[in-house]
Amino acid sequence: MAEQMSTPRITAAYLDSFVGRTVTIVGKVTQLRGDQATIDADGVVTILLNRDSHLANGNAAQIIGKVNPDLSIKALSTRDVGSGVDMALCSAVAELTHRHKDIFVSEN
Amino acid sequence: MNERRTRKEKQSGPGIDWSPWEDLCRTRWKGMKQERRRIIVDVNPGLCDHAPWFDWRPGHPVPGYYATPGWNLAEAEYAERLLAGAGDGDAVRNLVTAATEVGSLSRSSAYDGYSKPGYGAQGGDDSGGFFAGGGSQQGSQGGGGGKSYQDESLRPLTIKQILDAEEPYSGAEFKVDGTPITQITFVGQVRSINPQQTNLTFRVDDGTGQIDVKKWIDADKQGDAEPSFEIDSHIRVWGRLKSFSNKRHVGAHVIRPVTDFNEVNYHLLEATYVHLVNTRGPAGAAANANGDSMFVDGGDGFNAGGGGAQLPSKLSGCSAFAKKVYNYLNNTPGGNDGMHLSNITGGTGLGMREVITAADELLGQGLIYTTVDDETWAILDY
Repeated sequence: MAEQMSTPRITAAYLDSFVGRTVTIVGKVTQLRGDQATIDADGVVTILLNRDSHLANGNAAQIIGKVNPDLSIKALSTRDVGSGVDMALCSAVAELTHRHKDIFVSEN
Repeated sequence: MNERRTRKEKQSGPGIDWSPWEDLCRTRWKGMKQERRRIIVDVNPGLCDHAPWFDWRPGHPVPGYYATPGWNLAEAEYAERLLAGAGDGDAVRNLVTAATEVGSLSRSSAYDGYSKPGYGAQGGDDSGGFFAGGGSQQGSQGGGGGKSYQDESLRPLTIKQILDAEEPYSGAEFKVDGTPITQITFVGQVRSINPQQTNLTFRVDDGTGQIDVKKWIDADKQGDAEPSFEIDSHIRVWGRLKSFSNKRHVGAHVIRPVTDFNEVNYHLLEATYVHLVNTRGPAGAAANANGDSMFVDGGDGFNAGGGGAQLPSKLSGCSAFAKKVYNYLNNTPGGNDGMHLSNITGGTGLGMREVITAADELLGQGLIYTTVDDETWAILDY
């Protein structure tokens, strides 16, 4: 299947090792400006939104998208996941998924 | 008939007296037969017509996953033994299938009565008494591979683990980390919904892989045929892994929407925790002598030294002692030469051996380095 099966969970720190790949990133929306947003996911990440993105400033958002060479992310799917999200937990989990690749990340 | 079987059993068996179980089986079988009759004839005459999964006829094998709630280990073992040992085990075979049938009849309502007691057969309960919360038993007719309630478990898994589960041969039970899986649970996002005559099929994605989930439609339940969640929403699924013509899917018992996103992270942690317990043994067995688990109690470690909370991700995989030592090093001002072992034991209240183990762990992670000698460490900043 040409489609990439897994979309690794990352934080801002992992961006440069995932250029060109599709990833999952969860962060708090800090800025919404037209078709661009910035989120805080253990560091600032710029998201290039698609047309059906409905994000809210201050809420957490889960973005699945492709990492551009300039380390922005072109969103394929965005989802507002509310305000009560533990961001420290999110980055700890992202870290964890890279420690235990055998159960989280498929190589392809 | 009965005597002949018993004699044969005695010849082939290792000398265990099974006769008490035989009596128990016999009485229980009678009860089940009555119950079956009551359900089919009195309560639900048209059952076979609108419950397509109920395709059992006398003499046909019954799909293992609908089999035999209420049938305990000793009885099942007894039946298995007779089936394997005696060529004329027809009576017992009937007995097992009878029980199985009653089990499958109560299956459709099993989740409405999750906590009902097992043997309420004589009560006014119209769903029958022989179930225990969707637990089921496989292999009654498989010859040898008998499973029992005691082996039932609920494993939290990632979808990648589900896709990677070993299936030693077609139709065998699946194994993850060398442990057989029965019921499983996972969290993911709905990518597509495909309504069919008898079931709803969802494609679920949790970032580690994708798998199809099938939920049978209960014809008796209003609105059961309509999916209650939108595309891309998060859901939690409970079910069983099935394999059908080399394609895996999950037969869902229950699906519910996830309302708090933290549950997604929680599930990933839980899946990792169970994976690690199964592959490396329980947390706290060795260096972690005080039983702190790696993840659940991780918070203690960060904050033990106060103000160390800014480095959670680096330390997230370390033991509680390692966190304590790291935090002490981090929070104690003292030159470029680092801290000596004796200072650390004094400052943290840990023993020498614990500090050395913790330091080795931190060295291995590249979080500290040795300075003037092998027992003096400093934080590695980069």
